[in-house]
Amino acid sequence: MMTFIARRCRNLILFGIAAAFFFVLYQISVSSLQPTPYYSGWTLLVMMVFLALLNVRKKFSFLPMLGKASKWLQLHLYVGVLTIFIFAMHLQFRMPNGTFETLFALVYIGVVLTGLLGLYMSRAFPKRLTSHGETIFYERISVLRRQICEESEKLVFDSIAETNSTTLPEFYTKRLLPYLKGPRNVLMHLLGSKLPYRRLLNDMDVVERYLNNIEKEVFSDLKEYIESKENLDHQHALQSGLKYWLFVHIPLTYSLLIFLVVHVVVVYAF
Amino acid sequence: MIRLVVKRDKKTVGDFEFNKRKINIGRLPENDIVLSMDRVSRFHAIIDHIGSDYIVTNRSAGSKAQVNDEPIDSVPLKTGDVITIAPFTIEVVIEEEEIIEDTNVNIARPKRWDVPFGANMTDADVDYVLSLPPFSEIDQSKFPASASLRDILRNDTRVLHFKQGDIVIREGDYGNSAFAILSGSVRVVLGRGKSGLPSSTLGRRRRQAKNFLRRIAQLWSNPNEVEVRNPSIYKSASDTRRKSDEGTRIFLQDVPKVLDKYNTASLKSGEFFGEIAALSRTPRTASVVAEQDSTLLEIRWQGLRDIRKRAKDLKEYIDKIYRENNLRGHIKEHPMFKHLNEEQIDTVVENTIFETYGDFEWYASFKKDKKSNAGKSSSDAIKREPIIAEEGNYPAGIIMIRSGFARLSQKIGHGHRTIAYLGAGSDYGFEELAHNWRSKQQVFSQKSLRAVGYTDVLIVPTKIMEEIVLPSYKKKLPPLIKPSKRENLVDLQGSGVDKIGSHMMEFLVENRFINGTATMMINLDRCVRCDDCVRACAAAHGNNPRFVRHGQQNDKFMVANACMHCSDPVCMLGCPTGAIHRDSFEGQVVINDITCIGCQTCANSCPYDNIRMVEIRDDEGNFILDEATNGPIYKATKCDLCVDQKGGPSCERACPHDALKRVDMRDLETLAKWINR
Repeated sequence: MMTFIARRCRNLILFGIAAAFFFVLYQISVSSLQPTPYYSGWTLLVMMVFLALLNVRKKFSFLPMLGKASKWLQLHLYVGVLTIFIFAMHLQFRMPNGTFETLFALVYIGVVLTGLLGLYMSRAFPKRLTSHGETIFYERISVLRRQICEESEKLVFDSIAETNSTTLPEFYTKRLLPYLKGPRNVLMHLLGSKLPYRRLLNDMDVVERYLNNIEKEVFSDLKEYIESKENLDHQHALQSGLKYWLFVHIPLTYSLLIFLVVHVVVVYAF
Repeated sequence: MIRLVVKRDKKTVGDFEFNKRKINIGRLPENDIVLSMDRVSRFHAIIDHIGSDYIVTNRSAGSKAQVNDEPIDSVPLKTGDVITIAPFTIEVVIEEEEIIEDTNVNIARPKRWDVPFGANMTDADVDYVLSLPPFSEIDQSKFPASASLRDILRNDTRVLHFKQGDIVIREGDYGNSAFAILSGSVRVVLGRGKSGLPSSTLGRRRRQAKNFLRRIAQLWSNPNEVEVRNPSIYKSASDTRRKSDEGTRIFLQDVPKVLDKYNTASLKSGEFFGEIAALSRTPRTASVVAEQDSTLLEIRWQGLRDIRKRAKDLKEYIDKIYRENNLRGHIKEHPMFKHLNEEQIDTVVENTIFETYGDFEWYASFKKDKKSNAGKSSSDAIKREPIIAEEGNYPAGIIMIRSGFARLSQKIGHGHRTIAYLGAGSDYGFEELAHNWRSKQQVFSQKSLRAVGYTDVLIVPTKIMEEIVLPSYKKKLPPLIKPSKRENLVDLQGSGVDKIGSHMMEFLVENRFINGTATMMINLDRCVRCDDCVRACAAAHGNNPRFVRHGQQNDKFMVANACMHCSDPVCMLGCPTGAIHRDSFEGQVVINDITCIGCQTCANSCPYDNIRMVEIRDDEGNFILDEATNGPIYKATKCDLCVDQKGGPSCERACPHDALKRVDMRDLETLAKWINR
């Protein structure tokens, strides 16, 4: 079983060789006045169709002759990056001109960027999910969130009779309830920032000074709910990121394939 | 009749009354209750009216429907229950029962002996068997009326006729039955592996997997409903069985010539064989060939279990031959004794002690402990395990694990550190014995050995080892133990802990995951929670995933709730029909859906909660009901390692991030490589 580091090294070497091979071919083709865009265009087309086939491969998980999905993904990643070079060669290292060409290039850039973003997320987010609190089923998050909200609400409002004070309920209603009600700070969680959470804890520290001993006990329980909610938000944000980036990458890929077909037709028609 | 009041933000948006078998709830207009919100699935939930019960089942792959704020798969409803399909709530009022149109399919509830082991077994056959020893000597009055000896013989046995040269059982196959010789004789080929009959002679064939076209057809032929079965299969099950009672057999040509090349033993009328595999849930240890035309009684292990329970003499006889055959066969095959001659082997066998530690049905106490100790430290668990050999004692002999598992540990401070787990075929104590034989400076046992669950061991006493085995030992002996080694608690070079880490080792042993031969482990640092594994599993199993991507976690590794295809599959212990069994070729633990009677014994026995009971439906989604009680028919389901697909488990193949692996816990090297990848 090859280690991931060894696999990465091997793949990078192969990638380097392939990139150098295509670049040399390009130089030979240019210097010998061959129709370079014709060759690079068809190479790109084959590569893009292959890249799009990853999604089809997933539907045929019961066909062992197609190989492991992990091998397909490795090929998808390296061939995907290789297309950047081929695409640049196809454009002959210049900016695209014309509306269609520009749109086509923009869609391609969109696919590449979302792909790279997805790669980053799929490598970084699982580690962050594992190291940050309990792993929770995505489908369970909304249920647990509501449970926390209801239980904490009950805790605070039931304590009024005992504490005879409204400081805590007021703070809860104004500051904590909006936080507990739904997913919060999605972007900050995605970026790995704890700033909003620290601000909330700071606000809680301030309020704690105004509480008596009984309220402080309730407040301590409340802090545990807030901590659980923080983990839920973290899990929700990161798992949403892992799920939904494909909703951008795949439609863009299909748009790119349409552009590709139109481009080939237009090139051969005119 | 059921009344369903649909509310949103506490305002009533619909009030429905239904008097039908199925009520669909979802976003699409074809539902009975349409909830027009994007967050609601197209078909989010279904309410089935079965008998007098209303059962709500979640159909959404996204956010699950909830009942009284608990997410559900399927639960019965009562008045006052609130179904939540966010942002809607549905209040349930069940009103007086009225006669309604019945669309469900009714079949007779499957029972233990609906499909007898031998479909052609007649009363005359039973009388014949009862007239022969040892059955003629059994006191029939000891058996209850509900499972009399006649009933057991009638339903759990079959009479098979073998011609000279027919292969009765093959070494390495997983068998769930034993044989009694009624007439004739058989030859047992004692050698195993290379010293046994070659695979080509034994005519080994793999299970027929789905062909290419049938696998492609799964794309569109998988049902849309969950757990769909064809009811007619159950109705015609017994007919199907009859045809296969005495199928085509593999045979040896020129029996004496072939068998003379091998070490064999002859068994005659009245003797038993095959009981080792049947009782210990292990592969057959030898091939058996009919020496002449013979009539055998094959007893499936459920019947053998019941007979052993009631007939004391037969139990003692079977236990005796089980021990004798087990012991001699094991000693003869063990590399440590291979250099000994027959006479020396006899001496070793005579003096070898066979001992059993722990509880054969260990899973019950394990499950109980797991529940009562949930969340508590497991450091006391090791103290409850029976000690086979203790660190610091003088080594009494070589201990060879025959079946089950043992924990190898070493004292550290006031506790014990698990160093490795030993499974069948492992030894303990050789290093110390070899040292003491060669050195004047005697050493004590360096580690403790404890039974994990249930462990069969063979002990060859020190005296025998020193007088017979070690003097003629041809391989290189292990190095002498340094006196300081015992003090050096971190010196764990080459041990299991060294490879996978102490915490992981404790986790695997503590939770008995060491039992798995195909444990689903997920590296959470690589898993992107895409559920491609779940979808691949569902695609291979009629749209029903056979595992849950959730389970116990240690550091970044999770052991998911998927059948581990255990070395010691205790789920098979109580199955009354033999529906859960080992595949005879590769040994996967699989369930025969036709003979499963839905008794839940396997699901309750599984120490890892990896077997799920499901209510089955026809292809239109109607429940298949028991024609007597109108209650749902249950079937046990679990991972079958995609035994009818080619290329092994789909889940592992479908994981794009190399996060999922089916791990054989007996192979610590591969596990270590995967963990440290």
